[in-house]
Amino acid sequence: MSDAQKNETNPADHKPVLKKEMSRRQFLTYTLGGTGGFMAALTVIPMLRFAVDPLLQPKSAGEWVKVAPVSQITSEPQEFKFSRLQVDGWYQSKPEFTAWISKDSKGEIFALSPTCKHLGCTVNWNGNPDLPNQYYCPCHGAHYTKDGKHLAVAKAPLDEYEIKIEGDYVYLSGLKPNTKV
Amino acid sequence: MKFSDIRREDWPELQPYVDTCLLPVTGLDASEPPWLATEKLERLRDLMDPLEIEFRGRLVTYPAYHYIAGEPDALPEICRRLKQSGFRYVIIVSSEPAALPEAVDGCDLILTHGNGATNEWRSQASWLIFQMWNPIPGGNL
Repeated sequence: MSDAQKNETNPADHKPVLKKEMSRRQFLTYTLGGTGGFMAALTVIPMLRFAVDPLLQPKSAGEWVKVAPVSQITSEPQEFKFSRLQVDGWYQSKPEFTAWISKDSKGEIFALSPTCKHLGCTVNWNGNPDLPNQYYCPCHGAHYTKDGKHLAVAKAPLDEYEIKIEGDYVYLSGLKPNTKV
Repeated sequence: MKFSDIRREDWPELQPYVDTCLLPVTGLDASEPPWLATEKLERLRDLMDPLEIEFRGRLVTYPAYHYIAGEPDALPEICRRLKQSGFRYVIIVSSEPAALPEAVDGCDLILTHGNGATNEWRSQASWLIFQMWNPIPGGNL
């Protein structure tokens, strides 16, 4: 075989060239699917964000409520009522609370919750004439000192309110375990 | 506390302390239009709320006895069964005084007020409940 003949290609040796092209069907599938997915995401993402929004809000320390003027507070516990906004997810309410506010032996103002630590009844200052200068629970006889220390029946002292003094007024916020006893 | 606040597994431990049943009696006679039925229920709720809060650890509110058509004949039997189930005291509360007799067999205290829960009524009701639990020897309730 001559060199010229060797350089010639034999049509029988040709292999079909594979073109990497997309078919029209594939193109339409990808285009429609992609567009549909994009449009669905546009609709769903804002809804998801709306639904989880309460979880993403930073937890605040609780709303401070002006309750009483400092000049009104004495060493004798006095009952004050106040309302505070409560937000629980999407539900908002403004329930009424009660606090017994007084000055301790050092003259510092503190506020106690009247909820008995036994089973949740409401205690009253000097609620039993046989137990003067104490908080008394009418349900099962639990009683507490002025600082909220539990003396009978209950297993824990009365809770305290978070408290701050601003501009001659007493402000209260959420509850915390008793720090006086 | 409300009956729905108490779980099955908690009741044996609570029962010695929660010995008083508060039975609301709505006093409907089935002739009320819807808005009046709502008003009666709201007035009853206003009477019950302060008592439920103040005596939460000893008093359990049961489902209301809604309809009184003529004589409230079923009430004594209901009170009897409540006591048989373990309650030491049964208190009936209603915002429709005209629907109730002055006394109901088996009931220890009836608290009624037709004009909503005033502060005076609340104080008096609290005192009556406390007296019921702590009777003065030789005194009357």
